[in-house]
Amino acid sequence: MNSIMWLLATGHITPPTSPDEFAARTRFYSLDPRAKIVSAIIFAVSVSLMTQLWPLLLAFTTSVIILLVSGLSLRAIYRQMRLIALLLLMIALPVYFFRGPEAFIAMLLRISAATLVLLVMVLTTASANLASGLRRLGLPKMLVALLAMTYRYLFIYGDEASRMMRAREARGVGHGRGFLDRRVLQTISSTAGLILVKAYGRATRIDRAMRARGYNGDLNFGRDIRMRFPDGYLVLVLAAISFFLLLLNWGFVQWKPL
Amino acid sequence: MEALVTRKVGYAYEDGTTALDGIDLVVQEGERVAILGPNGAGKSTLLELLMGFRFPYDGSVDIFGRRLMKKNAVLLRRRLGLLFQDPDDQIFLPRVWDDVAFGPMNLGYNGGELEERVEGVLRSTGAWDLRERVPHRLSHGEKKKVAVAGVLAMKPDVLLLDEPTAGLDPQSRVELIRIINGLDKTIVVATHDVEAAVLMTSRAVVLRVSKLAEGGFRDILSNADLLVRANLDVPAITHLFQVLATLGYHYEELPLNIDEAVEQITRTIVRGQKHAHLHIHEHEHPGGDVGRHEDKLHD
Repeated sequence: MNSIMWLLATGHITPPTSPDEFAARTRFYSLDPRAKIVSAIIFAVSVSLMTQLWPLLLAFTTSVIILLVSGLSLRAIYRQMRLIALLLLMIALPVYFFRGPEAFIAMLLRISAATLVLLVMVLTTASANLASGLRRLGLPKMLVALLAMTYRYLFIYGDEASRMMRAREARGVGHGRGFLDRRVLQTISSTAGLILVKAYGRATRIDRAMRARGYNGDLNFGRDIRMRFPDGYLVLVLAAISFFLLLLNWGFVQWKPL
Repeated sequence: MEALVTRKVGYAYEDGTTALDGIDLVVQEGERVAILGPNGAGKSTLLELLMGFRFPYDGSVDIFGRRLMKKNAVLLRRRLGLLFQDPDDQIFLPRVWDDVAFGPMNLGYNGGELEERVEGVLRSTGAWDLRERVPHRLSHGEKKKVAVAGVLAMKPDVLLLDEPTAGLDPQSRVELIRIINGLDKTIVVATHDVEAAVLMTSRAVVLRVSKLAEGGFRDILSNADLLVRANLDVPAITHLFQVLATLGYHYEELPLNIDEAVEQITRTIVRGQKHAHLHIHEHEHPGGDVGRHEDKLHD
């Protein structure tokens, strides 16, 4: 949480522009969140077990096809992937030096394919549905509550941080020499600290607001979600593809499309 | 029946600052009471004590005849609904519908019954069109409506409103007051907005750590010394009549709002010209603008 405060205060991350709004415009929106979560996890775990280049390339192609079919805007996915891509590169780079270019490409494909499918499933689901789905899949209630409320309040703290940034800029605080500038560093630290203090005060008030409305430890989500045919179909198709790619990877199936 | 009673309630914050001292308050069922006072007067703390979020170090709080204690706070709290000053504290779920449904779900409602209740309160507060929206995209006025809907969905007997009109634009303010005035409930409004308090409640308690005064608005607003001590402002229309009085204009009753002022002026004109009538009313244009229309009738 501290690091989130820090990144918000420095303006290095800004909350995404309401994923719920573009999720509603995608083809996967009405699918059962549990089906999306399960199928994405099956696919991601299978991909993480693959070591061969061909199956990984096919897995990556599958994830791109899923992205295109979902109807998600490519710009939206690019915006989410920017930060992740940098992280991926930092993870994969040592592999290049220690295990060669093939292992490096395999690592990049593995992480990209898994991340892309998980992102598509998350970005095509309304946050409340996602939390509801996770809860019904048995995720601990505290964790689901934390996720749902982090999502809700990230925007508020994001707005608060940018207001504070503007206020300090209005009083002549510039960017200086970036992180190396002591004064800038001091200002950023105090902003992060202030956001943390405000967050603590708000947390107390939210707790009271929840108790005032009968909160009993379980964050209920009103929506009634039901598994239907297309939901089961999605899980089956992705599980089948994952299984086939694993067989291909382990050499039980010999197939090269090109 | 007495809905809320506090007897000699005292409370101090963790740092030792006295927030409330010897507060006696009785709110009858169905009554509408304003708690007036400046910032830091202890208004919000008093509401929190009534909700059982804090407990007095001195005195007692009774809710519908039952002493409020830690062990029964959850149960008694169900009869009260608290509207927080900042709607962002109150709307904590990522979609409006889910947030309004949160309270009834905790009461055990689900399925059609839940949907019916949520739809009912969303429609009555004019927030039905916002049901699929994400809260951070709403305006302050819209958030306030959703927050009111969330509280009303619990069907409380008593509504506690903490600075309900703070930060609202004039249109949203009028709309919120209309919603609140349409409720058939016991209402306690903590505010420093005297003009809104006059429109929503029938009597007031003036607070500044201890109780400074209690009674009808006319008595309170006529007491200049009290207003200075409580750092309160009189409504503009009332102030105008107080100024007119110093110039020799005699009113029968100090007007507290525009309607009462019109009535007062009409009476004066009728007296002076034997038969004249001034009538001002608000009407809504098809576009939604509120206009003021004046008719002068002379015989």
